[in-house]
Amino acid sequence: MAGLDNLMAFIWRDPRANNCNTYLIDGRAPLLIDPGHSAFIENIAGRMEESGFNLPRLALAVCTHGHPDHAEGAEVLAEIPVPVAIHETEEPCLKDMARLFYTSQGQTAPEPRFDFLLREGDLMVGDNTFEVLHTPGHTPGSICLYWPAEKALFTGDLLFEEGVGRTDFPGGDALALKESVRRVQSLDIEWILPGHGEIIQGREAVRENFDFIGRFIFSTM
Amino acid sequence: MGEIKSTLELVMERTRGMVQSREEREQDIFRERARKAAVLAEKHLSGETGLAAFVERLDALSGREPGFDARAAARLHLARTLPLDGAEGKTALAALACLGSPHVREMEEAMEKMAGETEEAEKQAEARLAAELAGRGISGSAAVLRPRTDPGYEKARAAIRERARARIARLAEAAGQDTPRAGY
Repeated sequence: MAGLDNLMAFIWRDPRANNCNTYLIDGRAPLLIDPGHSAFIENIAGRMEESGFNLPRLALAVCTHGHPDHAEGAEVLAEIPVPVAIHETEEPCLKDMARLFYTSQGQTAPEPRFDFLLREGDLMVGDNTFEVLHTPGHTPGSICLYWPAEKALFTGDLLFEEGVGRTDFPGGDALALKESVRRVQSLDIEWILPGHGEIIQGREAVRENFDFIGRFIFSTM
Repeated sequence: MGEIKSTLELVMERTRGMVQSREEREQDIFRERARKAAVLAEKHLSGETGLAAFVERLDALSGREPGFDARAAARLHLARTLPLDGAEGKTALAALACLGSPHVREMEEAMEKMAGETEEAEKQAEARLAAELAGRGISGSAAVLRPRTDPGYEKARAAIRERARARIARLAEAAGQDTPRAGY
């Protein structure tokens, strides 16, 4: 990807391939963002192998939130083992509120093991430094990962191209989501790497997307 | 032709000769009294009754049951079931002191030692986890380590608590021996 040489983006376009965007930042300590559904890990791993990367090399996997389309694969990674982290607010939610989410989808709630938790602050992974931003709204413990060196923001399901994450699932909070979007809007961003949909590239495109969300999406929430 | 017997007749027939000895009867009575004292102690630990009311009820129980030392029975129950940490542990120790237990200080020391060793085990587990993550190139203020979920910590904590429990159990038994007929 031009401008983000170490980034591999597995964009969700085929429901048989994955159900969220998965990102891999390769390097001295490779980082995976949002492993996705357990059933699709094999597919993601296969695509990584085509690029000469294999899962056991991962130093860490971060889940932007606990919904199964983003975090279920944590249980597969834990078996490798690859450490998995999620926001400290999200884990207790997974154990109660998210159980409703899983059952409402006709699924059995997994019990992923998170090796450590995340809170607001710096996260150094190899040579890369990220800022963990607690951005509740889609879920109580949703996070964005900001990568200042690349001016890139991994948004999870906070916001997408011309959209924001649903807030009608258990733990969702539309007001909190709006506040979270406004918060990340103030960052210096050239790349938006969302949990679903296309990547937004360029400062102007990023600004236009925030404008669109502010004008047309927030008014419907 | 068989004889038809009533249930009462059958019971009487089968329990003929089954008479409780005086000693057994006394033991049963004592167990029941001790149970009442234990219930009062549990109500105090749960916050249902304050210390003064707890002692008052124990004394009333002793008054109703001549020859029974309800305070001693409550002391033994509290010492045997002493919660090792948290507010209930402190409540139990305060109650034991009020009831004149001779081993309160030693129990406190055992609990303090346990707390200190547990804290140290947690620090060691945290350092171990931080080193493991650093070995993978992961660090930073955003990482919240969880030493309490570390299997090594859980094992160490269990051993520490077992030692404390054994020490307190010895003190409880010593207290029991100091208290005539307090055993149940």
